[in-house]
Amino acid sequence: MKKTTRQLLSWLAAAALGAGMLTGCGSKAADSTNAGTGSASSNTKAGGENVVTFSMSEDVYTWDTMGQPVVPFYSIQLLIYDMLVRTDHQGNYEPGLATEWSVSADGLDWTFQLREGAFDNTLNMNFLWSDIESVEVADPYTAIVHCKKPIGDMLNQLTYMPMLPAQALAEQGDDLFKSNPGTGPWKFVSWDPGNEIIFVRNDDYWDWGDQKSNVDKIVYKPISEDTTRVSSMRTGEFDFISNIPPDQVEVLSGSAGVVVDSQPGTTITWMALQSSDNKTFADKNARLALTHSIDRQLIVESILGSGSPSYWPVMKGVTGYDEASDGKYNQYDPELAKQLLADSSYNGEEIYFMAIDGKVPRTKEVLQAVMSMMTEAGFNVKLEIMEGATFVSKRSAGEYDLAFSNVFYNNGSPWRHMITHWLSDSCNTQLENPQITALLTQAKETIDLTEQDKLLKEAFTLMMEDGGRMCYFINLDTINAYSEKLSGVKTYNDTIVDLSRVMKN
Amino acid sequence: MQNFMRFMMKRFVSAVIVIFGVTIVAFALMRLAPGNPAALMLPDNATAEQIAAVEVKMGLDKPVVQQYIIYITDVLHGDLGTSIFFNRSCAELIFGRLPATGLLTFAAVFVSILVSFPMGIISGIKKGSAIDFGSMVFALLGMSMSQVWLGLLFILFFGVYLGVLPTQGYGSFRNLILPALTLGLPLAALVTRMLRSGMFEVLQEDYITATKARGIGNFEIYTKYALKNALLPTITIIGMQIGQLLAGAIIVEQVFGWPGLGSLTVKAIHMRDFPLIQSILLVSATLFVAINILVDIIYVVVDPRMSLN
Amino acid sequence: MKKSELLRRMGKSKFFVIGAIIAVLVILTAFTSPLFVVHDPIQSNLRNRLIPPELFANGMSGFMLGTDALGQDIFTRLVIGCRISLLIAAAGVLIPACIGTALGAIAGYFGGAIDNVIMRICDIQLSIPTMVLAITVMAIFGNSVPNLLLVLAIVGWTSYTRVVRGSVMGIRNAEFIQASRVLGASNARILITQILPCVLTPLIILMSQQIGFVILTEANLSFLGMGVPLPQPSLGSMIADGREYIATAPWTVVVPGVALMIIVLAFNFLGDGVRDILDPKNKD
Repeated sequence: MKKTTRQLLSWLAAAALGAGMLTGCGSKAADSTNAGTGSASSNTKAGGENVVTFSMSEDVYTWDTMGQPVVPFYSIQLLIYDMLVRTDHQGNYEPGLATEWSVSADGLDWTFQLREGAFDNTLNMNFLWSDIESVEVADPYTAIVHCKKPIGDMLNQLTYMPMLPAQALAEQGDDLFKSNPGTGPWKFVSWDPGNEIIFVRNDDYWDWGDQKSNVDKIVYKPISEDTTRVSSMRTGEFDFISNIPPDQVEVLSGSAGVVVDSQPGTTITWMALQSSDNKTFADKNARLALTHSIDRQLIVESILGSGSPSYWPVMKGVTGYDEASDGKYNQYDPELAKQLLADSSYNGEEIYFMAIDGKVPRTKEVLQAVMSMMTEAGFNVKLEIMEGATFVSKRSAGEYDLAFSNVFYNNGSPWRHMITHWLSDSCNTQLENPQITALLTQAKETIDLTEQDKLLKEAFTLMMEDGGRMCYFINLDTINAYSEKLSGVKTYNDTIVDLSRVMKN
Repeated sequence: MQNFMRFMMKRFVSAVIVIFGVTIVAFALMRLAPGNPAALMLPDNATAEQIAAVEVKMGLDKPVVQQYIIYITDVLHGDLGTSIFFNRSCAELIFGRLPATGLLTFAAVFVSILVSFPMGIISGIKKGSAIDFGSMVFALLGMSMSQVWLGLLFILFFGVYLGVLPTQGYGSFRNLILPALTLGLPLAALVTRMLRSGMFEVLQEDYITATKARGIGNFEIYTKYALKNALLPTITIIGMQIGQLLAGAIIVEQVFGWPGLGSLTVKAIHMRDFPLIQSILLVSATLFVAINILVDIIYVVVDPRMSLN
Repeated sequence: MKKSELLRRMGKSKFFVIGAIIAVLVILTAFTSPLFVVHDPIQSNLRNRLIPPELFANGMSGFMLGTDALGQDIFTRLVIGCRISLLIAAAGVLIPACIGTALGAIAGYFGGAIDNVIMRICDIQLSIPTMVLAITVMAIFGNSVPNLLLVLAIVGWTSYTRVVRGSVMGIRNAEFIQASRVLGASNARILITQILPCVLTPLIILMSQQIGFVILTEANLSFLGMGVPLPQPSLGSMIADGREYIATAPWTVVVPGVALMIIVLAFNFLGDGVRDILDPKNKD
């Protein structure tokens, strides 16, 4: 029966081999998107190739440029696509694929002069906005966009609306986004979901000028764990990372070869207040009690170590910011909070405060601290941090008292947030303020930024005095880190990063 | 031989029933969960009509039973469906992750066998000795450490203090070491105990004393009789654990950032990605059942005396 | 087994003794905690963040084991968290034990189709990975202690069913059972008064071995954020909270981790000891 033992061992070996082959077959079964998994971790010149690897917290989930983008997608788009208009993210615009533009006096017609050049993009702008009437191609290099109403945010929107090759789009439809053909400085190669995305340099790019990158390949790896991203930065596996927890800043600053790049950001965190009848926050006193009970400064200093308290719906650098009013509202005043709460109709009912993880660094800690502060003012709070699906469905149904989230204002424009949550009521707060709505609607159709700014300031003042629909909490800093070997990296305060001209030694 | 074929038929039939059962459970569970995958895909301000339109596109508007039948029919044609969230075929996603999971599983089992076999066998033979005591302590410690705790300890020690091993990711052999140890050592603890008690029990049997009296050497007794008997329940346990591990060691993947099936599953559940979750569970259940059948075959091959019931 | 024999075995088993002592100590500390804890376990005080353990420097009113990221005293949270974990563990063992025993007894006693159905359900459940099932259920029903117990029940019943079924199948045709049937006793009566007592031994052994496992499962779930809900402390969530600070403030992870390990170890020792004592094959 030694034979049986041998038989047994050979069965085991066969099973192990079989399992190995199974998994090996698995990797062949996945189509070519698995290129380069083995070499991805090495960042040095593998076989003479200059590779830059960068990491942010989320993976792209849809390549459809009209889909709901995750934050990293804005940066990725800059690699593979060209936009009509470019921006310095301070509210200034430069020519991209459009060399010049003008708008008619009534604001309804925008005329764009297009760059003559080596690419074959007949104009096809994938507009889904309801406010666009039509796009007219006056001649091969001139396009006129006819709008139903003046769009104040037009240029900003165009800075992240990529140009797609018209014919391919017509032929392939959604399948176009499996190969993502763009005219940008980098070409999309492959996407291994959850693992990595690979781009190679487009040597035929029309606009390298004298800034042509010496990097051959860019790899993007999504890593949702902040500390993991940081430790990989330190070991040299990544050349660039974003979203760094503030206390890791010191650790990283001390690491050899790492540059930490921190700037005040345009991401704001906020809570939506459920204000339908009989709910606690239908009462204005309760809303104001809430905002005065929170010591934003202490949270910024002790838990976050970065960022700044939000005393206004937008921060410096965003249209509608009012320096004079910054510091007037939302001040921490526990006595006032208790007083307001006592004056309100609140009777100790449980306040259901819900959130998902990740909207602010150290979500659990920050929100528990907020909960503690609210408890001191007299609120009875139940905090629940849940997963995204449940959160979204509860929020749209209005089944909450407080719902925590964040938003980032890109390129100095507050409009995405204002449209979604103030002109529509996506959080189903049921708090109506006709004055605010009227001011915002008017501002949205104002093309002149100075005028827009004035109208927004008025609207925002009303928002602060009313205490709802949102309680604005903390402005987050934008903190990135990258290797000393890199140059030509452009980081912006709205967390978007432009690696298209990166150089690596 | 006929008995064996009948046995295999029975096992196969029950395997199919189990797999079907799993798909039904998966289907039912996901539909019970609050949260609409169509709503999750669209921006915050999507209207009810827009959401409804996406639902139709995903086939979510049909009655549940019909959705199930459509799904099963597709599966039988080899189509595991398309992931809502990633917008690619589930098969591609799942089999794309299997290498990482497979590698980790293999490494963990390898570590556990390497560690547990010598310890378990020797302590079963020399019960009461110092080695035995040492193994028992090791085994109990291994069972008492949560994977989280063990993993974090490794990270603290090897990653932070000593800085010699990478603590996340997937790419080189060195990335594999810590996760494999974190998974493998608790498994080793379990296997050590099984082997030890198995060996010891067999060696207590009367027929062993009789065999010794006949003059058969110790080594032959240990391997030919004791080990063989002790191995069988051990293999069952290892088989079951492999089944679970192939489904993705969720905790270890979280702690070490290992891109395996487990983290894919967690993401899918969070996004209510019905097709993906169903297919993941289908594939895991199939693998699990297949391994169990394999274990059964090994049993029969090794010990034809065993009843085939 | 006679009482004297039981006591003799209890004394002889090293595992039992050590396990029992530690377990009793832990339980006592956890449940007398309201008497001696000084700090509030869930009130955060941001000015006291991440203070290293002071041990006995300030006595009981200091931060003996340090504070966590929210300024809460770790020792207090540890002790309260133990209590919560132990309560959940007790329920998490008893509930599946009851369900599993009932199902196992029915399956083993009646056999046939009922047995087949119950065993198939067992198989189906075992083919779904534990963690995946747990996460899905928590995602569906939300994060709360009753739901956590539900998850533990769902995950745990199968072991008991199998063990009890095996036991019952062994004795269902024994002479004394047949005698009862002849005398006209109903099935229910036989099950409850005669079969269950025989099943007790393997059941107790299994239960004592499962305690450690249940505590670990709860800790793992809490680590993933799917266990004991905020702001109640639990050993698992304390480890999760401290994880970020592992390099800068390791005590936030090490203290709950070591505590968890000791508790589970104690119960595993206990479980082994109980098995040694009650196992008739053990001639010690």
